Amino acid sequence: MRLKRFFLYVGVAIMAFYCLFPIYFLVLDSFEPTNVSYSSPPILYPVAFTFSNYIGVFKDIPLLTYIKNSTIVSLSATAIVILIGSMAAFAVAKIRFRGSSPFMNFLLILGFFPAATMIFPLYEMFANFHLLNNYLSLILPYTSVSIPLTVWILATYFEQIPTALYEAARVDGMSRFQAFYKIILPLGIPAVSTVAILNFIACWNEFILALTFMTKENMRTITVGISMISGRFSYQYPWGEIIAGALLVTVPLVIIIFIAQEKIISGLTAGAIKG
Amino acid sequence: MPKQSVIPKHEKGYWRAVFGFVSPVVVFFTIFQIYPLMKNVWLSFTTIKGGFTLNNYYQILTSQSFWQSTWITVSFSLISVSIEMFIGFIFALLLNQEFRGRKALRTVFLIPWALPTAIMATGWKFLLQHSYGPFPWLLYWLHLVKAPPYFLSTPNLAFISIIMADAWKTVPFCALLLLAGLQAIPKDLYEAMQVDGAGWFFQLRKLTVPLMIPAIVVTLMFRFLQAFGVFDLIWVLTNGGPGNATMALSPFIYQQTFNWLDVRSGAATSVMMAIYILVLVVVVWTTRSYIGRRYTQ
Repeated sequence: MRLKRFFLYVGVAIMAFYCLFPIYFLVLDSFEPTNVSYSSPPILYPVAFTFSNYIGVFKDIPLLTYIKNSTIVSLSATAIVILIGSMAAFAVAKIRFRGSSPFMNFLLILGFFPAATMIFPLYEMFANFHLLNNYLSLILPYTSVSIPLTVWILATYFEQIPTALYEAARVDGMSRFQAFYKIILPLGIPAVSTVAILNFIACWNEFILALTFMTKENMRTITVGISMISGRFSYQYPWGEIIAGALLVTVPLVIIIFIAQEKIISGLTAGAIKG
Repeated sequence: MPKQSVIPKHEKGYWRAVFGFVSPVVVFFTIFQIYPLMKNVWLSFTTIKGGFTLNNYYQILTSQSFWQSTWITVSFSLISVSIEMFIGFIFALLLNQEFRGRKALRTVFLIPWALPTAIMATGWKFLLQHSYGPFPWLLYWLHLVKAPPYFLSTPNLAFISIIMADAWKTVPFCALLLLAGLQAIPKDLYEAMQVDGAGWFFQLRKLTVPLMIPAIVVTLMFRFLQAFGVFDLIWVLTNGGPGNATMALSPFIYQQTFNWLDVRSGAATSVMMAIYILVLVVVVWTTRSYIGRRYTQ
């Protein structure tokens, strides 16, 4: 029994190490002055400490602009998809119209096609409408790709809300839409917040569309901005600053994880098992 | 789940209500997903002047780079997903035990998952740098290699690098999904087996694994479909290189379309990729219903 406990804790240590060791090296590098971080072979423990990378990254790249762009795009897409996705989920769960089950399967399959298979027509479309370098060129497709997950999770949740509540509201003279957003939607808040978090993270992390549709520096999102820093410097990769930037923009996500751990896990497992 | 009653169909304005609730979603994915897919089908069968042609397909199906990309995509997806499921399952078994700090560890497990892939790949690009990146030197100091390897400029090692980075990001995610499956197994089944004197390995082999097979297969196939579309990781970490050693289908389409400005070849490649995915979906679907029948009485 003692031996079993011992092996268990060895396993736990290995798991924590597995998740954290790359992050340790990144944090270490981000606080190192240039001469230390470029020493070869590298020094794998702290020897010198500086904040200059964290200050430099704000000076050398428009990090705050990237953060602003990512926030605007992710929040808008999340808000829109929740609005329209919850309506569709209600129709599937409560009206259960004929064809709702093929409709759900169709959504699921649609979600499997990678963005690369539709990127050029989208690019052409946004170019024709002069929407490149416009927030809409990301908000609209992000909304669209978030639909399958949103509708699946919400429909599953709405099914458990008693229809009698809806019917009572109708008897009281509410319209269908009022009954939906005054009665059913508020009861679905737990599931709504789960999909909001998952969609926000997915939009925040999106890369290929943001890379293609936002070509101006001041319109770039975080993921593209950070991963393209290296191209700005001809002589040497400013690794310290790149990594400081990468860690800084990860902080909001880590905070979300700490706050909403349970919700994220339940949403992920529901998505995987149902989906 | 018990089926709740639904709104009766004879209610007045039934179809108008359905239309009202569903149409916004339909409008969105018709414009931003179905139209682009169809447009690519159209582009792939036309010449620049708009006439019908099969030449775009002839070009890519006889080119070595298309088949190489297919091969890279399939092998990347197969290898990385197998590794992730295997390690993920071991981690899930460990996480399913009682120990101090279990909740904290679960939070830590979400960090790699939540990190944007492009940013995670940027981090790995640093970790794998030859002269000042820690990873090649760690391998060297542990006497696993004779000299610090050039991860990102050697074709095979670049391929291993993308698998390694992908595994780092996704193993914890798979572990959490499988953990949910493990927790759904009733505890009394284990107790019954312990009463009969079954050992730990016997329980794993005869109880845990058989009951977990549906969850494992479903997670595996969905992960596979996801890995099949890999773009960010490759674009940032290796840019498809060195040479074309890590040019999977998504970055290949991007390269054809936006670097070579060969829109129609890109469209034909997109259609081929869509066909691969449809075939996979059919396989997943039939396997899933087969497993569903076999494992739920």
